[in-house]
Amino acid sequence: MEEKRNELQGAGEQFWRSLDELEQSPEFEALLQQEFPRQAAPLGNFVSRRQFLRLMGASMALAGLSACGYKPQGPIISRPKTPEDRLTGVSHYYATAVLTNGYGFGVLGRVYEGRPVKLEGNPDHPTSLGATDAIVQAQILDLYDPDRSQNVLRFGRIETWRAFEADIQNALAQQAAKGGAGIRILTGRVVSPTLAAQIRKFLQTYPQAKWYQYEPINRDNVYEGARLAFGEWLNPIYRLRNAKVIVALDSDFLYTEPGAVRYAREFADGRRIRDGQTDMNRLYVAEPMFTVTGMSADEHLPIRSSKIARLLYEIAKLLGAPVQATVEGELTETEQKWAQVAAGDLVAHRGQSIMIVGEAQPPAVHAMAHAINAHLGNLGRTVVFTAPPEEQPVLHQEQIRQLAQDLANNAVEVLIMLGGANPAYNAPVDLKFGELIPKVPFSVHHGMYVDETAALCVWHLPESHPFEAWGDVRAFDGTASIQQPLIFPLYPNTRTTLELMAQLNGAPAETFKLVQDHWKQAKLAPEAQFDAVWRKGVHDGVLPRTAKPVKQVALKQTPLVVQSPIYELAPVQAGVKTYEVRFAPDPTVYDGRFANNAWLQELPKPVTRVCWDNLAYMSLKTFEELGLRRKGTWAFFEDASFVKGDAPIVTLSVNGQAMRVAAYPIPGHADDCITLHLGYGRTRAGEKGSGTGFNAYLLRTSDAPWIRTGVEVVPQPERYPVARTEEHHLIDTRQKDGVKLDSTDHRPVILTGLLEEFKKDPELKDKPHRKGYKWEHPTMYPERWQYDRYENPDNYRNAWAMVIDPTVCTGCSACVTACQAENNIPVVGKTEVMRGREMLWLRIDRYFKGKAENPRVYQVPVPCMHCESAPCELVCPVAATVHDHEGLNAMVYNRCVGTRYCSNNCPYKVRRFNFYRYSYMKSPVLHLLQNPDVTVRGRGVMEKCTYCVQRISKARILAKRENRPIRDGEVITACQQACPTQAIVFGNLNDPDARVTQLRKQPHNFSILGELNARPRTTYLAKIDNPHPELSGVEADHATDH
Amino acid sequence: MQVFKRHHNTLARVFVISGLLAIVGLAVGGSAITRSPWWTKVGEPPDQPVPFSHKHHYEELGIDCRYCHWSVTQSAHAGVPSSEVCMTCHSQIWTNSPLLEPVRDSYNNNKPLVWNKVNNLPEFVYFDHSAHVNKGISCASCHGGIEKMHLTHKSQYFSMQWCLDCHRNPEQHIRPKEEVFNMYYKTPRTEEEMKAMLDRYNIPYDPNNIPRNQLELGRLLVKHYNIHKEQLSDCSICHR
Repeated sequence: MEEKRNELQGAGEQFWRSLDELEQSPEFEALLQQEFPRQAAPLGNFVSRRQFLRLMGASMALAGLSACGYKPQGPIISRPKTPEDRLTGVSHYYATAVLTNGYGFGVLGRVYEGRPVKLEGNPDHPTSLGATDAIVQAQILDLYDPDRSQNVLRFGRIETWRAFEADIQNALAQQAAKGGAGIRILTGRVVSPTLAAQIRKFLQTYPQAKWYQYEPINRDNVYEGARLAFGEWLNPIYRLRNAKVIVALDSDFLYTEPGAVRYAREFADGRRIRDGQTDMNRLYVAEPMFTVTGMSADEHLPIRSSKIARLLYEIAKLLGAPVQATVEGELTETEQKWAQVAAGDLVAHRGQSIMIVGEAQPPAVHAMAHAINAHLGNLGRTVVFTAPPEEQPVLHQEQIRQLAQDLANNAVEVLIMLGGANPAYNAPVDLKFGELIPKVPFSVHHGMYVDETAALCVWHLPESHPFEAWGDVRAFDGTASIQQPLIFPLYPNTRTTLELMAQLNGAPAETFKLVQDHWKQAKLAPEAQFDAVWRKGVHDGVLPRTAKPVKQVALKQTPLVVQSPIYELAPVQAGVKTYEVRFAPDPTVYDGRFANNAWLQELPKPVTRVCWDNLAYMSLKTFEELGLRRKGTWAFFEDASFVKGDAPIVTLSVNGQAMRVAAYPIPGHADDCITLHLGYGRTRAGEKGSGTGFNAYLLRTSDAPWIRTGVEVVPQPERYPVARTEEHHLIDTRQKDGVKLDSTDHRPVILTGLLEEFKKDPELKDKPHRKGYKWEHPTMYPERWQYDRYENPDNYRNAWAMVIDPTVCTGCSACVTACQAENNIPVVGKTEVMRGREMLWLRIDRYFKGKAENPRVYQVPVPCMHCESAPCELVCPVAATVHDHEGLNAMVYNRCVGTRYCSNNCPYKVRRFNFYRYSYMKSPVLHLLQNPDVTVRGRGVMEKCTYCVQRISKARILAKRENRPIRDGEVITACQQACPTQAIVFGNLNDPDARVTQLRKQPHNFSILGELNARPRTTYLAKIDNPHPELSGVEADHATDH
Repeated sequence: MQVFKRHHNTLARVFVISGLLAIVGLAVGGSAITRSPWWTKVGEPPDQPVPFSHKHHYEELGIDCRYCHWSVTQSAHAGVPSSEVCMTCHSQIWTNSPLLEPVRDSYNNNKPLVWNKVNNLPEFVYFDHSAHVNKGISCASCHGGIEKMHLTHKSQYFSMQWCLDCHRNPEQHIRPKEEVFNMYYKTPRTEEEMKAMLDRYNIPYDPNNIPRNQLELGRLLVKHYNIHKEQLSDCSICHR
């Protein structure tokens, strides 16, 4: 195994998709060769031949009859009154905002007949710039979640709001005498100005009461770091557009940190390679496990989180930055070299560089980074500081500890937990909230779900979704947005936090009035202009001049003296080695609040391509050192038992805290440490979220919220099945003219190159992807598609095409969820995913290159290629997939009989088959979610990416009505619209000025499997990396690149 | 022992032949039945909460289609008018008519009226009214004879065949956009009439080659309205 691994990773240009491929395991070979790998369920012994024929005969006979049914006539429900500017069947967009990564995010909700079906980014909002991330896309599903709490509960029994009101008035009246000394309010991070005002009002009435805020994923370290460096809590905002060199240490600023969508856009704008434009920023990332940011890195360094301080201090010393720190430990030669090169690059780009440190790093590390940025002259250029955007900035770890203390001292008589606060699940485990909450005589939980905390409380109150009421939120830079309702409340009994607080203040009012009154008092605009400013603010989704002003900052002392906590691996004692655990927000379910969101659960996680689970990720070396073994997925299916699985179970224990978790190796992980994603292992999340994955909060304590050292790992005999999608829908490149090639001789699927190579040869002609293959095959037929045929504008033709730029693709998967939301794509569940039956039309293929210890990563979004000579069309016996005149490879669901020949013949494996009635929804509320422009597919039907044909049709009908051609940019596919980095461009090839035409003319444009001559309409630009010449020389994979 | 007697041969033949006939008969008969008005309900008005007469409102009173179906030019749906639209007139006339009680009730109590669908398309068909009426396909082409209907009923069975007949040959049904809502439009018969109409609607034509019949007028209009005829029978035009 070891040998094979070395063989493949030694051969410079070899790409591999999984560790199985790297090792060329027989299971992987079998997957490549299978006609329908794992998709077709093998017929068990339960059906005899005779019975099979009987069933087939019966279904054939009945199939004929199904065509005879006349469609039932339905009712037409007319409106009593005509709303102004509303047309039946025409959607409207309303600006509102959601919370993502803890802060406000401006969105536009598309509403059909009073029901929102899709969210798009708000181009005017500073965080969004028109794009979204996957979590934002999926929040529309939360609105329609059938598991949402609908009733007021007292000890789990349905009660009325009136009963609650009477009860709480009673309790508050008792507290009034002592100034509310026994009242505690717990909320998440409050970024709503109106809500904060309401809570403050409450605290004025009860001056002895206390308000605590707690988020498990918080900015404590960031704010404390700023205080160490500048003397006050400050919020750093990066201006990545100005940065040529970006060094990110243990930071996922492109994905999980506040402002990530904006940062991704700015980062991508600094590295778009077009003809003549070869200016490219360089990203250095040092982190324990690949993140979305790390996968985009030009220079990636796997390093334990606890060693980041040491690495940063090394860079500071090399730069001569004014820092005095106490850090210990030695860097390895690789780390030393990396620090040297990064420092050299930083010096060479003074004022155009940036040092970013992640939320998990201790404050001292942040302070050191600030000192370095100040030393390099980056302050005010690539990084600016504002006051924290929270209404009341706090240290969350401190707050939850105080609350726990109050509870333990029996000082709390009334505990009100608002807005989905769930300390019973996500508070540090050493505080033992599960035992503390039941001690409170009057406890109230208010949230969208009857969750772990609700189960411990006296009262549970159902919360409204933000799309059902008015509200306001601030973005990461302080910009305020008004949340306007997109739908009439689905359930009559739900209330927002704002409504509840107003009621506790004795002044219940409509949310609209509360929010508007607040902004009137906050002097949003002079009284005479308020109405105009307010209306425009609500319409645009952004209130003017609400962003926090940039502050001028200076280091409070030079040199800056900081003390960094020292985490070193404990020495091996009595033969027991201990490991370090790094906690991280889950890429899809975040801190657990989205655990019941099936879209986010089924979305293959950007880095690991695993869905429905979190695992303990570690390096291959550590995995093998622990004596753990992977097992091929294929074997797991042959013995048809779900008890056995890929991943071995281990127990992690430290200081009496312990958890069981399935372990799995991931390339590019640092040795001797384990990455655990939070948010799983929930017990009362709802039907979808309960019982998936493993609860990492069981190891997270209040003094080690991010990095826990000294963790003992004990392998267990059990195994755990994992839904890994990295080996699904494999493109086989090992065939040439029907002859299976030696595995070291296959042509890479993708074209990649280094910036230096690109500058010398923009076509990258010498790359193995290009070498020795004929692209154009001679033909005697006339050209079917003539791209230069842009006749007079009155008689235009469209030829739709897409170009994807993997150079800027970060693999964040926003496009995948956007596609799911737009096209009514069902979820299938973990078991079906393990059979390779996930329905997502757009997948992101992840390729590694180089050694498993630190490979380079390539992200390739793969939608349907819409081949001009599509192989799928030739084999369909009923002509259910055919071409139209605009070049779309159309899929006619009502004709499809489900032979799956097309899928078999598709070289790109982009077709998806409805093995069951996946779109069936037992809860009627989910029907409201369906996009009325797209057919809901039934069982036995093949489906695939349509290039969002419904959006093309909409634009075409509008253009036809106005008797003009469709303009460039008028048709935006769902994936393109969601993409934070604008890596996807769609348009008309017959329009010489269209962006897509320009991109296709780029020298580094390539087709996947172009040699098959299927002539795909979806093409790609080569993935260009910009590594530092000195470092890439060290790495083996680049040495053989030339 | 002889199990089968001689007459069993005849019986066997009768069974085989009648069996075959039954299969053919079922197929032919079944298909005939599913296309017959008895099955498709062409010409049979469904029950409605209010016996609304298109004949009275359109033919006798001369109210334009778009007065009630006002979204037809901008939306996929022609739209059923809200009760408020009915009440624009019926708050003044026939204010006490018992037939209009449901409309008044709906308007006063903000309760939707529930009508029964007359025409229905399967949900995998995406028909767009605006695309048709803006390109010279009249209401009458699909809802023909509505101006004569006291109670509204289907005038056509919307089979795919029927849709494709026109999508393949739109020339046979297209008319000047301005005449789309005119239920009494007839293709001009004489050259003068044709010329006058084309001039009236600013439709360019070759004076030496004035269209003589619907087909020739259709060809002229298809070109004039930039209708890409070959594209109209693409699957993706109606199915998504």
